[in-house]
Amino acid sequence: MTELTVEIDDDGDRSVVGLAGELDIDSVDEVRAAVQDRFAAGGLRALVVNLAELTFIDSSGLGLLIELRRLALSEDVAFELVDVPSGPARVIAIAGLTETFGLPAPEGPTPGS
Amino acid sequence: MAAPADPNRSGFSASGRDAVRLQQLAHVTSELGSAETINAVIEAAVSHAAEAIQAAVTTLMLLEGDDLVLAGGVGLRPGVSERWHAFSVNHSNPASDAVRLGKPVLLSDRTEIAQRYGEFVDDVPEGRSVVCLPLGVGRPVGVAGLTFDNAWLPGPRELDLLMTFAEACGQAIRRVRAATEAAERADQLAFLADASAELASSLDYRSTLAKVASLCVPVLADWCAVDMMERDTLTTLAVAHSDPAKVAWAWELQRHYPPDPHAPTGAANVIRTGASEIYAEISDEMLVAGARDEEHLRLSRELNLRSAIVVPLTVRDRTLGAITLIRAESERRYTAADLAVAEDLGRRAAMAIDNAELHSVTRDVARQLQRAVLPERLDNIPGWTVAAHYEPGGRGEIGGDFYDAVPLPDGRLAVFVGDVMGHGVPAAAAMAQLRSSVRALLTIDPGPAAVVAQLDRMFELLAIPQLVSLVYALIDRERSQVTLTTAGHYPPYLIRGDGHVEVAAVKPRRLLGADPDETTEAQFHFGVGDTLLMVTDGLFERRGEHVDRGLERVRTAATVLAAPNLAAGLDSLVAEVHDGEGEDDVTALAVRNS
Repeated sequence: MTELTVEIDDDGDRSVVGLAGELDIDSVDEVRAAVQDRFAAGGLRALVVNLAELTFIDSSGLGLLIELRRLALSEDVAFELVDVPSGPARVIAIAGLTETFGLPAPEGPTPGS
Repeated sequence: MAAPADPNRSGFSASGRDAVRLQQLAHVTSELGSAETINAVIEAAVSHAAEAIQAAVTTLMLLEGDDLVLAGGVGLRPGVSERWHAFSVNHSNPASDAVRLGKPVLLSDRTEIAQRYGEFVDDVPEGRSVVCLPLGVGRPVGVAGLTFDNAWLPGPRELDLLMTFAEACGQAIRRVRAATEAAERADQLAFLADASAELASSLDYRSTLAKVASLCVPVLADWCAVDMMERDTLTTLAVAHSDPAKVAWAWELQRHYPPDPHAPTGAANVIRTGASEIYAEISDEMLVAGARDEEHLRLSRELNLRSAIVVPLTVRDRTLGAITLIRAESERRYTAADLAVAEDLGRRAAMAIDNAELHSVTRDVARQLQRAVLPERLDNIPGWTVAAHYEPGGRGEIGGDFYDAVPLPDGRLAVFVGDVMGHGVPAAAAMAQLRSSVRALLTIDPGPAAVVAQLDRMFELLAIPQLVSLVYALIDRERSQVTLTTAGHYPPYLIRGDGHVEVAAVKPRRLLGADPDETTEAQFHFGVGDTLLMVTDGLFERRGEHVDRGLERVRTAATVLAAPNLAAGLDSLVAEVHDGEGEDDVTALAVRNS
C-alpha cells in the first residue's frame, strides 16, 4: 500500500504543504483535496510545497504538482516547490519542468545519460 | 484427581469438626467466581469440590440443547463415563430429573435407586448414595452428580451448602459463557469493520471476496466459501480455512464435485431465493442427502462439519452469490446472533460488488478504447524489425500508454511512444486522440520538432486537460541516421550491433499540455544492425528507488537487444527490468535497422 502524509502548516498568508512518502496515483486525490480546502478557506498569498520527505513520485504525482501550480497562479497565489530530493528532482527534470518550478538544474549528468 | 480414599467416612457435617472442609468448600466457591474458562470452572467444581465434600464420585454434566453432556468427573468407574457420556434431559434418570425439575434428587441406596431408576442401578456400587444437584435454579445449565460411601445423605443444612455450591457452579458457567460470547461479538464487530474497509478499498470484487473469506476465518467460521452465479454457472470464487493444506484439499474436492446450481439447499438455493439458511446442527442425514456418491459422502464426513450459515450476496434485487460459513473443528454451533453478523457481512460485500461492477464497466470501456487504437502488428514493415511489449496497468486500471511505428513513402520510419498521465477512460480517450493526431501530423511534416510543435498548438487550441509525455524518432536509413526529440519523456536508448548501449539524450523539454516549450532535436548515427529502444516509466519505476537506478537497469539490460531475435530480446529485457509490481502501463518498443 502506498503511504503519503500530507501536512499543511500555515504561517500567516503563507501555507506550507509538506508531502512525505509516495506521491502517486493512489495519493494525489488526497493532496488535491487538502490543498483545495486550504484555498477555500481563503486569505492565501503563497503556497509552498515542501518535498523534503518525498521518497517517490510518478507521472500522476508530477501532474498534480502542475495542477497545484496552475491552481495557485489562477488564484494569484505565489507557488513554490522547495527541498526537492534528488530522485523527484530528476523526474521533474526529465519532464522538462525544472525551470517551470523554478528549481536549480539537477546535479549530475544530463537526465537519463 | 483421585477421589477421597478415607473408607471410614463420607460426606461432611455442617457442624463442628468439619469446619476445615467447609472452609475448603467456601474456597472452591470463590475459585468458581474467578474462573475465566469453562474448563477452569469444571476443574474447580469437580476436583476441588470432591475433596471438600468427601464424595466418592463427582461428575459435572452440562446441558447442550436437549442433551446432558459429561464435562468432567472424578472417581468414575471404567465404562460409566462412556455409557453416560451424553443422554437426553428427557430420559428418566436422577441427573435429568434434577435438571428438569430444578431440584436436587437424593437416593439413599441401591434399593431406592432400583425402585425409581431401574436402568441406573448397575452403575452404582453397593452402599453408595446418589445426590444430583441442578446447576442453578430456574433454568439449570447442567447438573452435578455425586455419590457418597456408606449411603450418606446430606441433612437440610448440608444440602443448603451443596445447593449453594451447585448454584455457584451454574453462575460461573453462565458468566464465562457470556464473557466468551461478548468477546466473540467484539471480535465480530472488529471483523465487520475490517471487512468493510477491505471491501471499500478494492475495486476488484473477486480478489476482495477472497480476502473477505480469509478474514472470516477463524473469527466467524472454520471454513468460509464464496460462490457466485456467473452466466448460469455456480462458481466457487474463494475457499478459506486456517490450514492451507485443507484449503488445497477443498479445492480438489470442488474439482471432482463442482457446485450443483440446482441443489435444493445451500449456496445454490440461497442464490435462487435470496434468503439465508442456518443449520445450527449438521446431521449425518444432511450429509447423506447432500452427497453425490459414496466417495463424496466419505469425504464430506471427514470434514467433520458441525454447523453452517449461508447468506446471500444481493445487489439491487439480484442475488449474485452466497457466502457459506461453516464451523467444524471449533465445535461451536451457530446461533441467530451469528446469522445477523453474517447477513451484515453479506450486505456489505454485495455493496462492494455493486461498486466494483460499475467500475469494471468503465475499466472495460478504457480497455476497449486502448485495444482499438494500439497497433496490433508491427512486424511486417519491410526493411525494419520492430518488436513491441505492452501490458496494461497491474491493478486492471488502464493507464494511457500509446505507441506506433509508421513507415513513410520515402522509406523513412517514424516511431513514437507516449504516456498520457492519469488512468481510466479519460486517459485512454486522450491516448486514442493523441496517437491518431501524431499519425496525422507526421504525414504533413514528419520532423520531430515539427510534430511536437503541432502537438503544442493542438493542446492549446483544444484545451486538452491531460499532460502527455512523448518520445518521437524519425529514422532515415539512407543516411544511417535517427533524429529524435522528447517532450517530458525519458530519452530512448541506442543499442549498437556489438551490444554497446548509449542513452540518446536530448535537451529535456516540457510535457505536452504544460505550456508550450522550445523543442530541441538531436541526431545520432543509426547504422545497419543498430537498435532503438523506447520505454515508458512503468517499465522501470520502483518505489523507494532513485529513478536513476531504474534508468541504469534499463541501460544495462538493453545490451540483450543486440541479439538476433529482437522480440525474444525485448521479452527478456522486460522480464529483467520490470518488477511486476507497478500499477502503471508498461510499454517498450524496439526498432532495428535490419
